[in-house]
Amino acid sequence: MAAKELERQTRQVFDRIHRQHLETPQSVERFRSLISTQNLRVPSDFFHDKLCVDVGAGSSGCGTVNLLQLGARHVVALELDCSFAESLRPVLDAEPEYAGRWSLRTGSVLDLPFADNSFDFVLCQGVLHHTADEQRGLSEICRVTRAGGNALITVGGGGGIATRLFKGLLRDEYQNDPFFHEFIDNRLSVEWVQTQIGFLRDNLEDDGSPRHHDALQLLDALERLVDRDFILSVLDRIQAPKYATYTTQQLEEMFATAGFSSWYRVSRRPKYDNIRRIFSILYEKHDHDLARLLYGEGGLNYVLQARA
Amino acid sequence: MATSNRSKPHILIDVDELRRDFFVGAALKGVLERRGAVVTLTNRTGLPTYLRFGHFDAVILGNALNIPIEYLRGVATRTDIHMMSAEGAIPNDKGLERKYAYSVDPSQRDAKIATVARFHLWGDHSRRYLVSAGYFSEDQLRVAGAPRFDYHHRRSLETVPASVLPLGVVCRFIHLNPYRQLNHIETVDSFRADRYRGSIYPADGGMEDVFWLQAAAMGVLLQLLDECQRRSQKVLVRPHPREDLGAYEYLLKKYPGVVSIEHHDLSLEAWLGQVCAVASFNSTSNYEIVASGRMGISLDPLLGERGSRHVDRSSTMYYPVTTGLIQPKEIDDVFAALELLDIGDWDAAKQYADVLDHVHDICDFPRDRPALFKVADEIVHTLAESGREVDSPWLRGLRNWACRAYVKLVEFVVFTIVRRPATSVYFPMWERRYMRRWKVYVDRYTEG
Repeated sequence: MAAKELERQTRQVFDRIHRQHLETPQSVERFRSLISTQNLRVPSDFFHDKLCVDVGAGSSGCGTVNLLQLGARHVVALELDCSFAESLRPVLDAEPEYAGRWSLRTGSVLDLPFADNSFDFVLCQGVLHHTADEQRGLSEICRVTRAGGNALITVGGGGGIATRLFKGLLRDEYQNDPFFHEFIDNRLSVEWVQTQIGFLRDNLEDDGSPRHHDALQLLDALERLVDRDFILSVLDRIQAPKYATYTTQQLEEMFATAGFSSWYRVSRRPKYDNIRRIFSILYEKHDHDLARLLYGEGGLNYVLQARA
Repeated sequence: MATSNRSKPHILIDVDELRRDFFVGAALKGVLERRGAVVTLTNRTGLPTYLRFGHFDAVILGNALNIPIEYLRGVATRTDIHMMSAEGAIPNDKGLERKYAYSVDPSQRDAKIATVARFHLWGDHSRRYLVSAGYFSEDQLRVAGAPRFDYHHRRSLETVPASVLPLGVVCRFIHLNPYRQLNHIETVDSFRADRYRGSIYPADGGMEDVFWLQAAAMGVLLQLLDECQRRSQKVLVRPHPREDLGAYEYLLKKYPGVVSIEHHDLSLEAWLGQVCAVASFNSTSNYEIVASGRMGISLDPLLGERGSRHVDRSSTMYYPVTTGLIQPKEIDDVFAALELLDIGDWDAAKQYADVLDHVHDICDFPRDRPALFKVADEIVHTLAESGREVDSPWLRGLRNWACRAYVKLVEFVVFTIVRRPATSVYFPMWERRYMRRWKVYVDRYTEG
């Protein structure tokens, strides 16, 4: 698929998902708190007076809001086309504290519409692994980061059972099985999941044993632990036209090629109200046995520094 | 105000330009409704119908004296309608300089002024001007503030380098490039001396000055864009709401990757946040530029000698705000100014120190509460003072309902069946839809 067409299709998928995020308080809260000075291991006033750009801000602009909340002087939210403004502008306009501290631009991470050394901090979360040329994207990010400035890059790591299930098997099914494709696009919802759980519960054979009680409790808990935020996470993994994964070694080689002088990996533990709550510790402790088994390399979050 | 359903006052509010005036009009509607009025919002296409056939206790117009005298006179002679121009308070882009102040045609001017009960003014500066102009009675003038400027007076914009945000250019080629694809001959004809001499162009000038000025401005703009292309400086162009957007395709094709066009969807205050600086020709947006703290660059000096000799550029004449902007002597000076942004050597407070007090005087700022509430207070007060008789409530309700139904029918035919493209000045009044979309912006006008 040509790079432009890939960008267009990816944007279309995520525009839909991001607009649903905005209607889902759990998603909004989670995405707006992914970055903290604590997990970046920087001083608490690190973002004050920083001119930032959120590359691939999306229609919900949660990264942009996150940076504004952390005190950034000005944040430029960048997205491929101007469709994101319709949903993001009212969100940013609604908060008086952000007034005069943000702007919206259109452009691609593969060809950033900024001069060299423009920003103190570049945020690029969950974008590069959807592009046709991640190396070029990294080089562009390095180019617009001022000497000594920083970037935060988030991409998906490879390996692990859960990763291979969502980003391998289910994506293959989505691309090759018209029935599954239609199901994901049109029918997968919280209500659908709850209906299926109800069906299982109604047909559970009651033999009076304690295990029957346990099974019922598990189904009840599952019913409560599947929410819209979780469904949107599933759609994110499956519907994106491209979802590359990397090893830490591959990624760090790309950083060096792009021109970054140093980097370090950071981890975070997002807040979930759904089934992912059980696993969130594994996102933080990515070297734990269970984390390696389920998620392989895990989510790769790196703080990079441009050459001074 | 009376609160029983049958005796509630009916008020009509005119929304001249959708993206600019709807926010204020809808906010004012909300405030007046909370005070017990029945309020109708109308666009300029529906306005004649409402003015001719509707019955209202008050009609709130922005720029009332630009409304044809036939309508004003027809409304004013009826016993049931007060004309209350929120001149300046409801946004309008006409200034109040004495030599222009409603000097359209002396006979029409005086008749028009006589039809209007109250002029709600931005600030005491305007009141002093109008009193000294001599056409108005002091009783007609009320200082209520400018809702349009409230926002910027409360929040200034962070300075951003030109390498990050584009240079904004405010355009106003409304006669070279009229909306609704009017034939240019019609445009020229509409500026005949008998209608606009002394208003749109000076009393001793000719209508050709209007067109000359715009052609000259276009020449300067093209020079500027050529240079931006050479220097890879991005530009965000904001066409005037009364321009045809389609014509700007030309600039997009001529300057690919350099020029982008902002659709009329964006209010000026939001647009200012998207650019590092603004270059403009004699625009009333200069007030917002100064109030918001954005770097403003007046391109007027580049128009040359004829620009000042033959053409009175009205908005630069009203108030000396433009003198506070950067005044380039040549195109290169524009880029020298942008460089100040890149090296962090530009201070809005310092640059605008001299004109900011003046802007505050113009806009009656600072104030203790939103200007919109002051406008509403004045309207309520004027209605309470009124001794005019109103139509019987049921008849008035029926007439206004019939007007509304007729206007809606016409809008349905024009915009849904015929699918005429809407512009910022030629649009259907889909109030609920706009409220859903722009609630944040409407609410802003009633923020403390």
